[in-house]
Amino acid sequence: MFKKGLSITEARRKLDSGEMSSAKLTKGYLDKIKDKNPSLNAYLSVDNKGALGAAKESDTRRQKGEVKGPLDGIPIAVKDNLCVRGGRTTAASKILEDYIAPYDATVVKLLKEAGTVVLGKTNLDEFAMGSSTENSAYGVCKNPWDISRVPGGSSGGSAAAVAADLCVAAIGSDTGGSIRLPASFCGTVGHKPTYGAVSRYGLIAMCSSFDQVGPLTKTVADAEILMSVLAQKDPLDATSVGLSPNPEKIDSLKGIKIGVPKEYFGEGMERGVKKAVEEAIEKAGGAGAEIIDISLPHTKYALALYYIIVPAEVSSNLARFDGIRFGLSTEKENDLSADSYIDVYNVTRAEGFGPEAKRRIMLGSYVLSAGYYDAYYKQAQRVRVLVKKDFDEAFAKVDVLLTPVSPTTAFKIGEKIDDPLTMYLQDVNTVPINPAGVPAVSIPCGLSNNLPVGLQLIGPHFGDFKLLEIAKEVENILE
Amino acid sequence: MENLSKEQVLRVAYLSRLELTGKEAETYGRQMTEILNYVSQLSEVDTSGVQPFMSVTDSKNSFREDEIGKEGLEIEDIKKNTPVMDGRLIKIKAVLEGK
Repeated sequence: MFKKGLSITEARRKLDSGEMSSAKLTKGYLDKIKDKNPSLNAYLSVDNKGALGAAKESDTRRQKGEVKGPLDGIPIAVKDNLCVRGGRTTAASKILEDYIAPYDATVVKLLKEAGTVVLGKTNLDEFAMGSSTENSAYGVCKNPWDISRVPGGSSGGSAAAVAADLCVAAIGSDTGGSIRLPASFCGTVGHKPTYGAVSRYGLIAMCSSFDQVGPLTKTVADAEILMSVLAQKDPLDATSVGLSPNPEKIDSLKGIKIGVPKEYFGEGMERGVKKAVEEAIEKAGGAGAEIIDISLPHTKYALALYYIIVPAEVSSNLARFDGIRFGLSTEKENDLSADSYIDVYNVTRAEGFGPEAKRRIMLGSYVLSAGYYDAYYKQAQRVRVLVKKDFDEAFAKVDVLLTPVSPTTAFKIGEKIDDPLTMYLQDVNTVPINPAGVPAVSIPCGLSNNLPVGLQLIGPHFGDFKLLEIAKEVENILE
Repeated sequence: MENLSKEQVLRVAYLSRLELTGKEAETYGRQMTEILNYVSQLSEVDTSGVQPFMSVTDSKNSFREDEIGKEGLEIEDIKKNTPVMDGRLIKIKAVLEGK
C-alpha cells in the first residue's frame, strides 16, 4: 500500500532476469543515501566500499549460476546496535563513538553468508532505549512522511530507511516495541520474533530477557524471507532456540479466529487510528475471519512491570561500559581525566551516557537494591508470569490477536521528550508482548491525518511463520 | 511513596558509577520518583502462589562441551578499541592504593 521502491521479491526477480545487477542496484541505493540521508539522518554510517564489493561478488556468483538464495545481492540496512566486524558500531551512544566491532553479530554473519549486501548502520535511540530516536547521541532521525515528526523508536533509522527506499529491507531490534512502533509510524512492516527465535549474539544487550532482533520490510512476504534466514538456533546464544520451518500456507482468512483484546483500545486513542483499525477488523470479518472478543486482564500492569525489569537488566548490561577495555575513556580522551581508578568509571560513564541511559541505570540499581528487590523486581517477575498466562489462555481460543500498534500516529519531534513517563505511555500496546515472549508483527493499515497507522498481530510462541502467513492475508485484503 | 531525596539519588548514582552534579541529581530524582510511583501499582496485583518468571521456553541451562572454543578475538581487533595497552596487557590505574 505504501511501498516505495523494490521489495526483496521484486529485486530478486530483476537480478535473476538479468535486468539489473546487484552492483547497479547497490550503487543506486548508495547514491540515494548520499542525497537523502543528510535530511533524514536514518544512517549513522555507510560502507560504500564493502557494499559494492559484496554486490560485485554476488554478481559473479549469479553469472556462474551459484546464487546463494533469496537474499543474494539484496542491499539491506542494519541497526547500529548490531556488531558488524571492522565497522563502527555505536549503539547511537557517545560511549561507543569510535568503537570498531571486533566480530560480526550472528544475524550479520547469517546475512553475509546468504550473500546480502550490507549498506550501512542505521540510527536508533541510544542503546535502544526510547520510542522516537530522539535519544540518539547523533541527532534525531526524521520521519520520511513528515520530517517535523519522529519515525518512532528505537529502530527509527531502520524504519525510515525502508520507508524512504534507502534500502530494500532493514534489520532492527525490539525490546518493548522498538521494531513495531517505528514500523507503524513509518508505514512499513516490522516483525518481532518469538523470544529465542533469532540469536542475540552480537546485539548490544539492553534487556536480555526481552530483546529480539527482527526484520523491517516493505511487505510481509519479505519479512518471511528474512525470518527464514535469521531464525536459526545459535550455540553462541544460550537463550536461542530457532524456529522450525512452517510448511502451512494460508491463502484465505476463512475460519481464522482473530481475537480483539479490549484492553488495547484505551481512551487515549486518536480517532483516525481507531477508525483505521476498526475498518481493518471489519474487512477481516468480511473475508471470512471469525472476530472474537478477548480480555487480557493483566495488560494494564505490563507497562509497570516493563519499567522495573528493563532498568534492572539495563543496569547490569551497561556495567561493561567502564572505560577500561573499549569505548570512551578518561584514559584516552584529552579533555577527560580521572584521578583515581573509580573515577575512570564515574567520569567516563557520566560523559558517555545520555540522560535516558543514566535514568534507567539508576532506576535499575534502585529496584534491585537490598530492601527494594522483593517489592519491585521480584513482584514484577511474578506479574510477568500472569501477563504471559493471559496470552497462553487467549491462544487456546484464537489463532491471532489484533490490536493497534500505538494509540497515536507519529508525534512531533520534541513533543514528548521532556517527560519520560509520557514517552513510556506511548508503548502501552507493544510492551506486554516482550515479557511474554510471544511474536508480533506490525503491518500498515491506513492513514490518519495523512500519517501511517499500524496494525499489530500477535501470535503464540514459535508460531511466527503461521502468524506471518495470516498477516500476509490481512495485508492482501487491506490493499 | 516519598520523593527520592537528592542524597538518595546521589547514593544510587554512586552505586551505578555515574558522577552527577547536584542539579542533575535533583532533576533525575524528580523523574525517577514519578516513574517509581507509576510502577508501584504492581503491589495491587495478587501474586500469591506465583513463582517468579524463569524462561519463555521452560528451557533449562544450555550447556556446551568443556573444550577450548574456536571463537576468540584477534588481538589486532582488540587493540583498535583498548585505551591503554602494554604489549598484550591492558593498562589500568591502581585499584588498591599502595601503602
